[in-house]
Amino acid sequence: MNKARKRLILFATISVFALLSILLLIINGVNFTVVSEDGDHITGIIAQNNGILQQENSFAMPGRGRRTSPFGGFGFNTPMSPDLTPSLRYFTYALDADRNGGELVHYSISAVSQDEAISWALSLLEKSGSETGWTGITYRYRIYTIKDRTFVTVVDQSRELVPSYRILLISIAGLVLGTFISAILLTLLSRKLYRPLEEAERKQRHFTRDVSSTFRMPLTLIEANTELLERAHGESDETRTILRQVRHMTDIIRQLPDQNLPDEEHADIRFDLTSLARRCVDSAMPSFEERRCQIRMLPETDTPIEISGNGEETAALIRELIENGRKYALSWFEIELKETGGRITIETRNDTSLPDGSLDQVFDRFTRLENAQDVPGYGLGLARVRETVQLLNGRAHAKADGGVFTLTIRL
Amino acid sequence: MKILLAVSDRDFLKTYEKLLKMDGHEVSTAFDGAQAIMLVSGGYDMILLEDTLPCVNREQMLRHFLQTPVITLLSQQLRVSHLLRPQLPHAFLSLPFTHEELLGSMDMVLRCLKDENSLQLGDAQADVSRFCFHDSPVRLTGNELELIRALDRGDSLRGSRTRSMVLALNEKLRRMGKGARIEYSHEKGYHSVVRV
Repeated sequence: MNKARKRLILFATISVFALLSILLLIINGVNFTVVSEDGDHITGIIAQNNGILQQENSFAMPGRGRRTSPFGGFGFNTPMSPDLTPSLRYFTYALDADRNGGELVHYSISAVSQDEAISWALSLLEKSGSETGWTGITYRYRIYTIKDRTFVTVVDQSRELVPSYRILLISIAGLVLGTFISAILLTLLSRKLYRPLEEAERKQRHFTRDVSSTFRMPLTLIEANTELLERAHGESDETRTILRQVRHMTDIIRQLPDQNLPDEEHADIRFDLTSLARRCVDSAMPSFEERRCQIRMLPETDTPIEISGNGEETAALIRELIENGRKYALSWFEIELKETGGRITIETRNDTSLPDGSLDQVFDRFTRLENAQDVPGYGLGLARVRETVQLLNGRAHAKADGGVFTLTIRL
Repeated sequence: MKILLAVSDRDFLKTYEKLLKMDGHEVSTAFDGAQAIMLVSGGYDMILLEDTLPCVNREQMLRHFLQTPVITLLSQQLRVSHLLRPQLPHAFLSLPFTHEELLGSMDMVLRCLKDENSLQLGDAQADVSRFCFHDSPVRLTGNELELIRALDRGDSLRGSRTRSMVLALNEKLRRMGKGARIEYSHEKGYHSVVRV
């Protein structure tokens, strides 16, 4: 239950993060688009005025200086300020049609020297593939032609960009803070949400334990009293039947999980996984040969992989995987063991007629795929595999791809 | 043999009193801890004690019965926590059990008490008759001694019950600072190794 709760918190936090990221991306995208459009508007006006923005022209075009962008933002359809001309930092460079002569038509930008402005304009003319764009991070440019002369106007937009950057920083801070707060809230609220489920799970475990321990004493007494009867009056069919049935019930009780055994959940017994798997493969070989099917284990060098855990359950897991391969492989089956960074992967592959795709449903009880029609079974083998894998704190996946069925167990 | 049967279930007391008397034993019964402690001075050869006997603390009970072999009857599977208790009986027996299993368990305990030999488990030595490791206060049950004997013989040991005892023994060996451990392999089952 703890794992399920942690998973809920993780996925919900990731969802909140993703949603906030998308929203803030849209907001900041719109914001920067507005600044770009403003830049284009200004360079458009400059272009309309042959590369120079005069005071008297500040309301010239288009629409008396009104912003035509649908993202006008604050001041949508607001006339341009008459103070703009003196504060605008820009330069315009004009190049003759033959590209031999050029001049700075206007230069009112202290951040770059005139020579730098000229080389900048020339490099834009050479490299740029578009009419407008950003250059040098905070500069907006426009390339246009008037009477066989090519003009480049570069406007400094850093003042307009400062608020946008501020909004971006606040967005990032808000994103981080929002995600963090949502994670904390989810952690606190999920405890309340999961309490009934944890209670139900605890009751189920106690019920299983109580059923198991409640039946033990009566079974012992029935057997003992039956024996007393036999000693006093001799054996009979009835007493034999009673003893047989009692012993059958005793076997069932002994197999019932007593309850979760916390002192054994993380207890370790060391064993060599490679040697264990090799033995399972060797003992399955005759039954594969009978079906004229090849079985192989990789890597072939049999390098020991020492792990700590439940060797018997791991052996049962491997045997079940091999048995599944024996039933459904068409002509070959292989099992591969890998150890990477302390994690063990057991992968089995066999040829198959199943269509490509994820087949995780094979781990559900009583699920049998279309290739199982002529094969005896009830669809419980791989369900047991998943239960064992979960007991070993691992994960199981199944897929088919290009005629190969692959089962991957990660421990 | 003189046996004290201390179990809270009266049906169980009646039935097993009869069975054990039929086997030729002298049987006294107690249905709670206080009664059992009162009777213990009667000089018994074996005490069969329910794990959850009412009216007295289990550890206290076992301290009273120090000189007498005790088999504790469990109403659940034998677990690691049972085997790591500070006070241990000479053996555990989980319900349900057959009469033969009870007699077998009693024989096992008596056999161990008479066995002056030691059993080797890697670099650790078990003193069978004293139900403990040599030069160590760490106690063992007859169940664990039988497991060590089987490991010594090289028997192939498997099963969930064996696993509980293996885990408990590994923990006791670790506490004693010994290098011996019991590990698992597919061909041999549980077997002992010495880790440096």
